[in-house]
Amino acid sequence: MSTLQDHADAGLNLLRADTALTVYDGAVTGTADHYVLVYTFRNLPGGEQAPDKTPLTGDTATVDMRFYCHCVGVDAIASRAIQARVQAALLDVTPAVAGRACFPIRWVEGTQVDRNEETLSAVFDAVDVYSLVSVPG
Amino acid sequence: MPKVIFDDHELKAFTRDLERAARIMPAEAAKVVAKAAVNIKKDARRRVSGLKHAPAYPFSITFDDVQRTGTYAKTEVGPDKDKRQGALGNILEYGSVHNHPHPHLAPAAEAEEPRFARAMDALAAKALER
Repeated sequence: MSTLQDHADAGLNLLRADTALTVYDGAVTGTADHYVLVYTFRNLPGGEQAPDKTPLTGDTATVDMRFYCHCVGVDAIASRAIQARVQAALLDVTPAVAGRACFPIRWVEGTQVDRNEETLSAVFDAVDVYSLVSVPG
Repeated sequence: MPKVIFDDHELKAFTRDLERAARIMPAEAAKVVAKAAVNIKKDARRRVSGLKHAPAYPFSITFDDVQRTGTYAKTEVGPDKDKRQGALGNILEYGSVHNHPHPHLAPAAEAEEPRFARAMDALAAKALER
């Protein structure tokens, strides 16, 4: 299993540990009316962006896995409730990834709760982006 | 009666240096901010180019004229909703229930941050050395 998949699993498994939370990875594959849909996006910051985490050789050593958490519900209250569960599962938690030293997961940015205006999608959605940074360890 | 003499000519010279730097910095800092905005705009456009359903979106990413006072210089980089496909910014940056994200604005800003910090450091040093 790749290191990147390990990082994705580290965040997803924290969410899945909350048995009251329906977690979808990359696509909505069920019929739940409130859930968190997670998209991952990985950065590989080099020496310029992460000088304190880059060895003197200049080799890229840092993984910054971003979790785009779409907190979805039938109304704004449900959406916020999902946001709270996601926050409780991820924020400031330090997960374990084999062969890596992880930093606590931090919140990076987010959007307000808003109605998803896409066709055939009358749900409320709020996005929170969390970051899991690790270095070899 | 012993006398104590304080030689403050270096302090006064430094004060003059700071006053001179404070006069030139706002205009010079605005140039650095504008350059960073150009870099972020170009990088964000590059990162989000080539999307089949959003061919016009990259061209909606612009930045405002730099506003400045004596203490700050600022601008805003992002999609202009009045331009074609400019309203897609949120969906593309964060994704949606049906579409995965194409992060481009935040990564472009993060990539520029260390270059911007270095440019501001260099500007401050230059302003004090004149």
